[in-house]
Amino acid sequence: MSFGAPIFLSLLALAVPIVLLYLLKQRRRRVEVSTLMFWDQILQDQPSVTSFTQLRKLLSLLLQLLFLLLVTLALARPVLSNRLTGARRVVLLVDTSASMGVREGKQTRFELARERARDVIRGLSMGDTCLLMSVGAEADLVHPFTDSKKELLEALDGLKLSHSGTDFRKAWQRVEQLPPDERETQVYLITDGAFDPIDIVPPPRTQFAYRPVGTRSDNVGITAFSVRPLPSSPRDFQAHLELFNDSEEERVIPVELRIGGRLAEAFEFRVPAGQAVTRTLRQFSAEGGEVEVFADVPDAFPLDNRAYGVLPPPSPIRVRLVTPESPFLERALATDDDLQLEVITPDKFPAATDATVTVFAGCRPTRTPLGAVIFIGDWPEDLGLARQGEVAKPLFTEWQRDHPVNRHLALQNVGIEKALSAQPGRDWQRLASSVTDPLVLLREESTNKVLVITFDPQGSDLPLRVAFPILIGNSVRYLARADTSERWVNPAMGQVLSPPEVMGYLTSAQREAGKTLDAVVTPEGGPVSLKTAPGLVPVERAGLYRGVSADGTTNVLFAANLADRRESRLAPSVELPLRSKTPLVEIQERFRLGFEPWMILASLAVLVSVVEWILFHRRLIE
Amino acid sequence: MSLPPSASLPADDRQAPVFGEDFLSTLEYLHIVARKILSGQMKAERRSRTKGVSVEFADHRPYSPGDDFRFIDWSIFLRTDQLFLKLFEEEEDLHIYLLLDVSGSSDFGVPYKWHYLRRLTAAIGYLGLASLDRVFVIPIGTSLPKGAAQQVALRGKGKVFRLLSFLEGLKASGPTQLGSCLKTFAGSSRKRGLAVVLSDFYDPTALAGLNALRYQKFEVFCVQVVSPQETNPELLGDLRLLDAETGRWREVTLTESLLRRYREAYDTWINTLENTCRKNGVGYVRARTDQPFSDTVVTMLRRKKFLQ
Repeated sequence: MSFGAPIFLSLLALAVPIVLLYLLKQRRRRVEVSTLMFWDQILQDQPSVTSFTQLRKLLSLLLQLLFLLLVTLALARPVLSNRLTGARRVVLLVDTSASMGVREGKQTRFELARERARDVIRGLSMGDTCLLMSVGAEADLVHPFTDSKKELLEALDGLKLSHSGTDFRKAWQRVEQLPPDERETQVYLITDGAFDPIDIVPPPRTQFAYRPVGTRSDNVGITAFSVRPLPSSPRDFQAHLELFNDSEEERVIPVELRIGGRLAEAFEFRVPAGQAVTRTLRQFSAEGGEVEVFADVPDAFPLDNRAYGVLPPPSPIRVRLVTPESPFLERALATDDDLQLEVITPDKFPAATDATVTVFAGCRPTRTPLGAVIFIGDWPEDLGLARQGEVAKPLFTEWQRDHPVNRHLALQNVGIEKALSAQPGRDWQRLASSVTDPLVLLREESTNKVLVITFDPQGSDLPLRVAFPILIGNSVRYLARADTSERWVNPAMGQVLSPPEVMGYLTSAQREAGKTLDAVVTPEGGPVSLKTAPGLVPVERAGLYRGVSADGTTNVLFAANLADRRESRLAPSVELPLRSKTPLVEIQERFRLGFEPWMILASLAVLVSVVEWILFHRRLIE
Repeated sequence: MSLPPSASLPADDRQAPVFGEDFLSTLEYLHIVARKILSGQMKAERRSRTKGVSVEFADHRPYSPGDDFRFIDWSIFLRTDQLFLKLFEEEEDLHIYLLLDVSGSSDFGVPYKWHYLRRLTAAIGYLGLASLDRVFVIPIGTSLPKGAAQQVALRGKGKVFRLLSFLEGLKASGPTQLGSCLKTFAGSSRKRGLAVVLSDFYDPTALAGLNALRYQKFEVFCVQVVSPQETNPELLGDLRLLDAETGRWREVTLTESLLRRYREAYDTWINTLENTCRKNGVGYVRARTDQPFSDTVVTMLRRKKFLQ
């Protein structure tokens, strides 16, 4: 045993004056009374000084010396060794995943879990330290090791339920990284066990306790949902939906699909017991916007009955077609919903209005204009692309299939009468070739983006193929930098987005227009500023996330969904959801001293003081 | 009718004058109250215990040789053939003896018991003077006063200043022999009348003295004046208690239990005194010094035994 503040032991010297004061003869207070008649009457059998009086004085002295000793020891804060007290290191893992929001009577599983955690914290004893970690999609350290129950309880009260799944593996990795300690490590898992058991290798001197919360209940949930525009037309989109029936009987589940808050379609899905069904729905939306799907089934877990998606509004690309006459090309461009077409003859080109992409077909300007330009069948001299005659009957022998311009293209066996033979420099990129002769070339410079098709489609059967409008559309979109591949992708639940990542969810048109965001409004309604550091946006609530621009306008950025079949399965795990090759040691609860020795000493001092007061000041001893 | 506010006393009035500026007005007020309560029984209308000559029939007694045959009741003689004499109540001036305890136990307490006793004596004396009765103030300590200078006999309302002056000159000190003093007084040849004993009665022999007065045909009235510090002492701890009368001391360690026993002994004594007085037809009033003395006077007036 040692002392935290040994200087206070010097207070024991006060015992000397206390003893001296007792040795001094006490001078009695003189009080005049009108008569001693009554006092004589009641004191006739009671001598004023007896041996009992001496004993009483001795007892008083002993009580006061004991009081001094207890107070001195309490102030000196004695510290008992961990071996003596059986101190331990407690790791408290509290599940904050979405399934903990399931109602169990009047309380949610999360509230029940907090009560269990409070019990563990209150049971901390002398020398114990405790670490509090919340476990959702990520394992967050809520409070490091401390012996302060107050701080731990406050940190526990500040815990929030997330809408994510559970990844206890990450939590366990953090437990494994704890530095070694001479005390036993006791790991408490407070969870509904809505995750698959994980394999662990328990460190030495580590014990486990599973505090399950919740009971089994039926549930129907949307376990997958996503929307994406179709490549053929951004106004058409597909919705991918998975419905899971976690009950013991087949269920017919009514589902509503809303776009921009308006009911677009209603379905009914028959889902067998304990199984999931998947459907892909094709829908049309001229404006795009928010997509919400709702499974209209009352159950204990309403969170997984809704899912969200985002369709960015189409922003047409202004295209100027300069041609004497190209009916196939004009039709291919005109039928693309994403494009806003203007057709002019070559003589009107210099006076034409600005366009995002200019397409020259069957003609060429004298000088290469700035901006995004597509030359089909011919190109100006100053382009820097040398011509060396013609190539007869070329074929698409190879093309970069992963390049956005060539996406979804099938160019085999396209019959071409002839093509111009070009000798591209190093700054040109061959997107498609006929052996060594380039058929589609691309050059990207800071002020000038040029795509060249070295043959006239009218002299080929390409316009009769499906690939033609796709090639033209891909080329225009690529040069206009229109993003058709990412806008339907949403961040995963639990992800934390940096400001640049958030900006990535603006449409290409918005980015081109220089739009910036000041804040993001989460589904809870709380704005997260992107302007003040660190400006991180945690994706931890299911719903729609909206961006707030500097001018105060808002637009939806992305959606986040729970979409986790394991979370939608509401049957809690019966056993400790940890597996190990070596048997896991369970925590044996036993009585522990829940407070430090100084508290006992101080309490005893108060008790001695009370006893002394009752015996001598209340004069029970006579 | 409510009492004037002057009846209230300060908490510690030992240094205050015993008779303040408004004391006389308080006395006059008490006189008015007394007249209303006694309603026409004042001034020579009080019935004496002595049978004499007057118009008020009192009783009969058998005729004895030598009796004045003018008072023979002939109507009874005609009915019974027996000679009976008619007796009449003798009307006379009342003699009021105010026996004031001047022992050291009166020199005690807050409010000051000695002031209270003297104010009470003055008030009763004034009521007697105002009724043209003869008022005697007799201080009693270890013995009765020997000379005339040590007591006072007064008659008439105009003698009130002499009464107050006499009381102001008295000192409270020394022990008391209440029982023997009262016996001595009862055995004296004084004319019988009302004997008002004003004391704290902390003397077991007092009961015998009161009985002696009663046996000698005195109308007796006891006024027991006590201090709050005597009825409920707020003392604790190791103390040396000093007797205010004798100077004797006693060391004691006071506890709640001892205080409880003190109160029991105290209550037993004053209840014994009161019950004995009541049983023997002796008027009794107990006054606490923290109550206005005028209240005590009014209480006395309401008792049937006083001033009738």
